Amino acid sequence: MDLQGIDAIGTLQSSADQLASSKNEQAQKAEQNALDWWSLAAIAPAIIILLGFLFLFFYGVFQSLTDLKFGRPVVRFIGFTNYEMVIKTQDFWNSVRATMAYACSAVLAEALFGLALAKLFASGVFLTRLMRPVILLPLVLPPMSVALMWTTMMDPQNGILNYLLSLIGIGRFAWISDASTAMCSLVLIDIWTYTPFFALIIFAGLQGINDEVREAARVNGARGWATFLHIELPLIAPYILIAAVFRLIESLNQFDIIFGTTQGGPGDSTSVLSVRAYITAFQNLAFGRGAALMVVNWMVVLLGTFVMVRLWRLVRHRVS
Amino acid sequence: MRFNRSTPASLFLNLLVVACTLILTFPLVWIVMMSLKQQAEVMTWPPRFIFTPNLKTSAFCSMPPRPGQQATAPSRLIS
Repeated sequence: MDLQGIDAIGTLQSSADQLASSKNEQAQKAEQNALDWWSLAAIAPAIIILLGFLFLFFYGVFQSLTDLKFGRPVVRFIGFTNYEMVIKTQDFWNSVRATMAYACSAVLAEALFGLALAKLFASGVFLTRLMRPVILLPLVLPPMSVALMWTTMMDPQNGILNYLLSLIGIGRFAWISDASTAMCSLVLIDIWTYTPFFALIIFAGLQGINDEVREAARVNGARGWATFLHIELPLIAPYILIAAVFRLIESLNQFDIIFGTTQGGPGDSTSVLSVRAYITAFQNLAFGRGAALMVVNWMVVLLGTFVMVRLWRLVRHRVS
Repeated sequence: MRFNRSTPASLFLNLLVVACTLILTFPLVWIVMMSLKQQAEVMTWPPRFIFTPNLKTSAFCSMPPRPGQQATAPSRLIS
């Protein structure tokens, strides 16, 4: 008796479930067909902002195809003439070379020093716990004050760096005032400012490695250096590369530190693409040509980032 | 898992940390010191690390001449 009753209730329930589910499906279909105004309203600000940025970007690209210049009454569409004129000049290729040299050497050196710094601070000796906040110090300074700070320190006449060098018996250095050393000095400033960024991210990566992994490596007989080279380095390589992607974008676009210290000089030695574009557009007031240079700069950044992201995905794929 | 480092090794690592900290903080400290110096003291050679701080003519009152420009007379606002 009892069992039959339970059975009957079960069948009733199941059929009721089926009915309800078919009703639900109908309702879901109706909902899918109707426009969800609330979600649209929720994403509308993002779309508007995106469209605004895209409009500005395309306006800039359009500007690079015109002969817009300050004080010119009629603006004509001249196609790729700006690009042709720019590419023909030797200065442009100097700028491209300077941009590449600056970005590549800065990112490479920062990755190396950042790795060393992170490893040092992950070693957990007594002073690291006290000094950990200090790593962040250069990162929180505004780039313009970093530029002014180093300009005074690198003064060839009475800068402190020359004095410190003279203490260990090295003669005076012209730093940013000489065409041959200006680029190295700028890279040095960049390294001082942004190595902490690398150190921070790599430090986080090192903290993320499970201690069991290290222990397993040790049990299997890996010594300190081998553990680092074969266990830790492959595991933190994605972190290094993602930090390098960010820094490469920023240093290919680097404007504030370079313009704040040398303004592209002395001569032509440090005029990277962004600085040259700024000078062309806002000091020579040839907005069209400046926009063309900026578009070229954007393409360089796009290309560099594309390569780096591909590399990053490759490494991450191999690790995981 | 912490390695138990030998004393010389940990001392060396601590020294390295101090060196890194010095490199990272020195420019900032130097600029703060510079902001408290008088114009003549800023320009002296060799640079001095010990001086009497001067809050009156610090950066808030008179701007130091930019490198490349010639030193100008103090502005009329102060004199």
